[in-house]
Amino acid sequence: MDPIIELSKVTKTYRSKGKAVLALKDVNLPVERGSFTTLIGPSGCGKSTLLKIIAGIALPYEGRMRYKDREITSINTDIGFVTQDSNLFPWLTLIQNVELALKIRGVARDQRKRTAQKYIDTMQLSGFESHYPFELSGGMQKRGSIIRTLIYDPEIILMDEPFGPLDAQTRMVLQDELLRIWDSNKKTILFVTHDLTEAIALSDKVVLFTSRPGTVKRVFDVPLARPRNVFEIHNEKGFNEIYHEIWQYFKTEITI
Amino acid sequence: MDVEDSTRSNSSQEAATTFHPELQKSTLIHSPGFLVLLPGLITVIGWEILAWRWPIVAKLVSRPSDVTRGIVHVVWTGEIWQHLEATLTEMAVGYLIGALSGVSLGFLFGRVKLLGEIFNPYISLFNGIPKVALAPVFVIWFGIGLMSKIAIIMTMVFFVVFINTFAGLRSINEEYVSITRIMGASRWQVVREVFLPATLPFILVGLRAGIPFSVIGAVVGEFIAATKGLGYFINYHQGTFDTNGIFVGVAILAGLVVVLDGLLSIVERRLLKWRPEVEAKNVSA
Repeated sequence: MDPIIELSKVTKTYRSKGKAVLALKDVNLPVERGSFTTLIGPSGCGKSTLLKIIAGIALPYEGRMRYKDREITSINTDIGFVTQDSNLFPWLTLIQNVELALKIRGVARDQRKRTAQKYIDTMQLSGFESHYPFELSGGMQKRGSIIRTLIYDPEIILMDEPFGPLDAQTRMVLQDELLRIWDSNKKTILFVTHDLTEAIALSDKVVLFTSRPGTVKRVFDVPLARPRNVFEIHNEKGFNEIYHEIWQYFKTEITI
Repeated sequence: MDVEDSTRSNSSQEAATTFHPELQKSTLIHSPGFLVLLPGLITVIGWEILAWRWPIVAKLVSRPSDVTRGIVHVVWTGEIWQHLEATLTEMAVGYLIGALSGVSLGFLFGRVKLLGEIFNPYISLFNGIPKVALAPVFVIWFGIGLMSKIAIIMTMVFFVVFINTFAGLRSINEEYVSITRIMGASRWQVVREVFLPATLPFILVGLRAGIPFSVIGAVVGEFIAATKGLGYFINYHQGTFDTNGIFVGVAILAGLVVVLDGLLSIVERRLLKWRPEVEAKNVSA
């Protein structure tokens, strides 16, 4: 047990139209180093807000958050954030987008071009280096947004429903690619989704949130063996059992 | 527009000669490049015919051939240069100061939230004032020379650039800012990597809109009080009931705007090649 992040009693209130809205209430959550953890819950339950708090871009909050052995009180640049929209900068070409973090961190031009090219090649984006985002498909943009985060080797990668807007096939391909990347570098990933199948297919732990104000309802260990075949995840041994178990708790949080 | 249409017609012509030489003629007629010229040609020819048939028309609105002759005359004799020089100097100085201060203050008010909120109603108020109405005041303050015109142009250009820059900064996707900050960007790096490029299209809209404003500012200032300039030139010919002289001045002014706008649109196309709308047009060309 070596939690890289430890949240205790994290509570977040924000103001909306003059009223105080309680988004998160007393969230306690240890995130183990090198683990793949998924936060799941009904929409509007504050999962995304929690990611922003961890990244240090939704300050202030109440409660405590420890990262390694320090308290987080400002933006944490050891983190990589993959947003729901790809958010590649439209004025930069693919390779310029990918190398942006290295440019910001003062890496020499030649070296950052080389590194960016390496990532582009591993994501099968070769040939599109000098394309602008609008010339790329949704899946390619998403790949770009993932590698522009990987390139600066963050300790933790936060992913906020990154595959939400994609079609089912592209989604599975990218889930598969993500698992392979994670397998090879064992970074800590904290992944937000509202898709239970996706949560089970990807993670070691599924953290179920209640509806607003969001708090941890229950944590499930996913017993499926790795490597997993995301394309036929339903056939993996133990899938149905864990799906059924989580769903029993999940369904009571969903009101339409 | 012009550049684009001509490239489009060129490429379709090329395609036609390469593959179907017999289609060249019909392609030419159907290409918008040629059609764009039609309304202009019809107007000029119609105008000329009307003026030739009824002399009163020529008295009121001159005629294309006379205007052309007039332009050649003022260029040939050198009469126009001092006026052109005066107007261009006023425009250049007023435009530069107005644009620079518009961009800087646009950034300041667009990013410092409190400032933006406090001044927002005042900005709307001042934006609603027709700036030409201030021209007489500037003449009182700065005299009939260069300075009063520069002040008018500066004010007009400032507002259109400022409003657009301000709007651009307010429309920035905050996620871009967060992503960049998490990557480790300093405040200055966020400005350089996000604010500037994201606002550039808006700034360019302001800069392009500023060009006709700078011409209007110069001419209005010169109408009120001046000893030279294209506005003075037009005003002078109005005094002598010389409609042809007026139209010569107007034509030169129009030409000036077209040239300057064309130059800026080339700059814009270069800088904004990442925008789908611009690119899509190039693809179809």
